[in-house]
Amino acid sequence: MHINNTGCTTAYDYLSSIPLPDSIKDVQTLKGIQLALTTIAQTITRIEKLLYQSTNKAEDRQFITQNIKREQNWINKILKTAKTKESFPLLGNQFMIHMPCSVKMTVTLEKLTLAKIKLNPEGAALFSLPDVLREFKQKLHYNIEVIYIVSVLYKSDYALFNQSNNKDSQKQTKPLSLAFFELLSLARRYCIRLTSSLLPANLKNIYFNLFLFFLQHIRRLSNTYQSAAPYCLHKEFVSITEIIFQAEEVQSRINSLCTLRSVLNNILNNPRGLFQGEYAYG
Amino acid sequence: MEFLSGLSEFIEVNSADLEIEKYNSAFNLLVDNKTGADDPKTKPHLKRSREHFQNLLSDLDTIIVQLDNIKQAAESYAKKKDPAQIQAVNKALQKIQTTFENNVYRYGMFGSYWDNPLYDFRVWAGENMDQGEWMPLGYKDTKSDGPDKIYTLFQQLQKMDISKPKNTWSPVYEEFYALIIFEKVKINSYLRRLNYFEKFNKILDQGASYYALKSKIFDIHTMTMQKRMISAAVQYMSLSIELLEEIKTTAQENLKALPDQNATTALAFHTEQLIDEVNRLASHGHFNGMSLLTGRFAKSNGMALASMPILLGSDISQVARMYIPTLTSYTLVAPDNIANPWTWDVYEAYTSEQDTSQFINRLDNSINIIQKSIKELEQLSAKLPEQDPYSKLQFDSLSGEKIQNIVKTYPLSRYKLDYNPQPEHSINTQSTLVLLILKYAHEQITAKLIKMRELAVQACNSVYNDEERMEFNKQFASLIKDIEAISKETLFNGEKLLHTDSDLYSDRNIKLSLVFDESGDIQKELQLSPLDPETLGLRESKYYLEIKSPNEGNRAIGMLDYALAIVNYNKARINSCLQSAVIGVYKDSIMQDYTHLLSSAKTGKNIAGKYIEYLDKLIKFIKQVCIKTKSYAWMAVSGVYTYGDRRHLEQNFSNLLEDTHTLLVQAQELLDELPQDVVLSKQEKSKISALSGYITKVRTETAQFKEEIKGKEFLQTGSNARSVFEKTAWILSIKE
Repeated sequence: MHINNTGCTTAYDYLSSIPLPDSIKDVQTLKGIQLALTTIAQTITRIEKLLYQSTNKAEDRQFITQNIKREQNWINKILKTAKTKESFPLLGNQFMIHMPCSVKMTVTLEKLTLAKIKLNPEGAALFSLPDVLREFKQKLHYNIEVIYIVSVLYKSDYALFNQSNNKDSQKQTKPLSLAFFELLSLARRYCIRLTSSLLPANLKNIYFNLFLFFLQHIRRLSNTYQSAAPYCLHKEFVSITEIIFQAEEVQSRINSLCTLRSVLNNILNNPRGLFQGEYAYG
Repeated sequence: MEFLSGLSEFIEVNSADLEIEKYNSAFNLLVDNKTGADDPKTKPHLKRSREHFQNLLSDLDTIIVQLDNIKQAAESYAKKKDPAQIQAVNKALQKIQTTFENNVYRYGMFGSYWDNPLYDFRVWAGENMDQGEWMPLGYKDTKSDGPDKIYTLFQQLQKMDISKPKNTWSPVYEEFYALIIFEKVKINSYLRRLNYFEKFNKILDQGASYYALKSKIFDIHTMTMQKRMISAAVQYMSLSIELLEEIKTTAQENLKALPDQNATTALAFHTEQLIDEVNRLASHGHFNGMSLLTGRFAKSNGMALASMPILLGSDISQVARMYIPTLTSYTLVAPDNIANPWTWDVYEAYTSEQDTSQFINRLDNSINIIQKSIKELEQLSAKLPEQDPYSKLQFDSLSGEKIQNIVKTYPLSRYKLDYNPQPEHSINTQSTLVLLILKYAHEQITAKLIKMRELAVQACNSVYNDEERMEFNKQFASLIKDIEAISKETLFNGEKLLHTDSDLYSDRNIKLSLVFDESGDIQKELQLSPLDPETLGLRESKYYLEIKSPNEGNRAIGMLDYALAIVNYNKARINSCLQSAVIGVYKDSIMQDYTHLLSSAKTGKNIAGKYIEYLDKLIKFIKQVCIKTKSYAWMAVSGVYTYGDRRHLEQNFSNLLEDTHTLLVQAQELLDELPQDVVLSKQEKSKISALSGYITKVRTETAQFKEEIKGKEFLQTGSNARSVFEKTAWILSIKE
């Protein structure tokens, strides 16, 4: 039994172990955005710490104001200057990723702008974050989430593409399916997160749309790499995702997400059953 | 020693024909020996009270010096008729007046006339409601709310005319002098009592403190709890012996002092104070909120109200009983041959030699009985093993550590409790982080409430004046604001977790649905009370909890106790969910390994062995959870836990039982979905059918058990706990 030190199980180790060649331009873009976003997130944490430390002493306030200003300049600099080699802005609103199976994926990011952060006028330490910062953080985390999903999809696609072009591994269809297995686990995790009370109502809609984007691409991948995709993907999965795509009311969405979760549970708990239909494609 | 000089004056004025040296040793007792005064751990209010009394003593000495001056002047006037002596008398009287107004009044003495609320002087020892003690000074006129007797006399003294014959002013002078001396006797006796207050507080600090215990009761092993309780009882009893010894010495001094009425009255006053302290100790000698010394656990009084079982080992048959004698003055001090001990009066007893010696014998008997009990308890404590038999399970060691690393990347500093989930974090990690954030916030709020409680106890002491009490109230207000900030700032994904102003708030509770595994099987509804100051009862619109006078202290302490109870109840729910989090991690890792194995295997030929291995692993884990469940029933057999603690044990028990059942259902599914292409040998087939039989049997049992205890108080009494323990033990004994 293996539990890694993050407390989560090995589910995503498989995908993160897939090495992506740096020579591909889109990989560079993805990695660049990821780096820019995490740097901003770290800077935000530093600003937060500073804000919470502020006291009503004049010297302290001056020191903290200066530091916050410096950190903020740093963020603005990243937002303005993070570009690809072709000087394509990394943190713009929209960009295209060319998937290994030569499908174009349009990725939409939230536009990030950070207004000037001020200290608590009452002087004492801050009890809650300024709204400016809170909104910025929400958008930032959404962008991190989007990039995470896109890179998971890219990695799965890359793995499947490599394996299906490799004549030796073509005979070993089963290991290929591991990529699908991980994608479906992630989909299941989103189902639980989207139905959980911990996701605030205002974010539910945004994340639901992101999830739809994810599902569409899983379906696309299962169509492209039919020999590696589990049989169930083409049956129950398709029908339930259709319902989800059409669901507009909140309650019917939640219901369909719950159904999808139990469908995914069935698929994932019985991985050998996954491939019973596989020979039909063979 | 200054008191002794005061004493000699006292005797000279009132009963000049008595031998002074005879009583020196008697009053020597009352001279304060300042135990603990320099101890930095001494509570600030006790330190202040001690200073207060010592200041009063020196003020009284100033008054005595002036009284001596008056007497000298009067005597010299009687001889020489020098008018300057009249002036000297007036000057001395003026000085006494100034001392009263500037010093004594300031410290709250003789306040009934000056309308000072500190007449009812209260000193607080301990931490529970009403653990304060009144230490009044001065003499209230019993007939009306009229002036204080000392002040009335002083007013008469001011009209004193030494040009008139001695017998016209001397009675007033002497009565006044005697009262001042008796005030000194009182103060010295109170100072002695403060020593016992300090010792009592020390016992609390050494592990019997209710609030220190309550905030982490389930982090302490049952065996350690039991040891602590026995040690607290022994310490209380030793303190009781110390008190009895001092009463005995006082009584012996009384034998020497007889028949001097003034001396015996002074000694009787001191004895009365000590007897009061015996009773105070008896009624406040608590452990985990249980009164230990009032006879609830006495062996031979024929009407034991509760028994105290002490667990000695892993089995519930290894139980001993703990006995503590009744330590109230009723049983320890009052002589045996008296029909109604409550009417026994020490002032009366001290007037007769026979009664005093009888009293001494009685004290000797009581000391012997307590000493014997202490020995018994020490023997019992030696029998207790160092550690709990059920504490060192793999199950426990797993918990925090793994998740700690993630927590480290989110420094939960003073107010930073906001967490944004990361996409790569598992469902379990997210739920666990919510729980850890909540746990952290609860710990912070508990610390603030306990701090407020300490302040409240302090503010209950009369030694602080109203201005200082306002300072305490300011601190209260700022602590309440801190609590509000924590309740507002405890966020997950931007959502408030502990405030009524949250989307999760409905029906007076914050409702969270937490999932602990990837398949969503292990799921818990966490209902928490919000912790904003309004819900905790610390604030109403603009009104903050305040203590305006010492008497309001009890109310404030009661409210803080209510708030602490709410926080503790929340904590218990969070802790029981954290166990499910551990189970979720384990379950996911087993399932993950299993599915990876199956999905990557080429054919079913080689995996049968592995498959059985995983099933075995799952069953082993289920058994561990079951043992942990059993340990809660085991704990409930011990007497150290109170009703509230048992409610928490029940919650933990039923939650774990539910999770055990979920795991069994999972194991059953695993069996049912055995891939068709897996080739099994004969041996493997029989093994699988055995496992399957076992799972079905245990699953039916746990399902039934779950229904049986649903909505019931099943660990509230020892006998209930015993039957629950036996039932879990029986389920565990089912063989594959």
